[in-house]
Amino acid sequence: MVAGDSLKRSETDDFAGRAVTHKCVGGSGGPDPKHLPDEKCDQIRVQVTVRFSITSMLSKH
Amino acid sequence: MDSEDHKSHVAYPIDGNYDGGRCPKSHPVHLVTLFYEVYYDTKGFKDKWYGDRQPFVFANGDATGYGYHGDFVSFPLHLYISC
Repeated sequence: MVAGDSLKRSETDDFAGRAVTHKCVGGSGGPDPKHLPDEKCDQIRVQVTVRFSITSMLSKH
Repeated sequence: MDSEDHKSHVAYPIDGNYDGGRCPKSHPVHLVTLFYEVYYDTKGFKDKWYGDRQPFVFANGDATGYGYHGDFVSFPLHLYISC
């Protein structure tokens, strides 16, 4: 299973696009961008949400 | 469980937000939501910026940050909830 897209280089506002944000810890305190922050940060906290539904019930194996 | 492209057996919700909302009919079984936070300690590089853009590049060559992703390989099979 995969969340996000390793080849993505532009911003989209769909579920997959909104699932990745970068929080600039120690920055100016604005909203978390979907791209790497353009300002200097003490830490960059990348946040990935993996929420999904599947096609059918999983079978035991 | 997996699909050929490793993606199409799972789907995001059809409405709501990326961390809430209803399942599409094609993917009716809601799994749990996973939220990952990864800290990169960038404080020590504040005096090493150059040019007019942020200087960091991820190991896959992504200098934008849009390509951040999660690869999930295994899952506890008993943890599923009917949507």
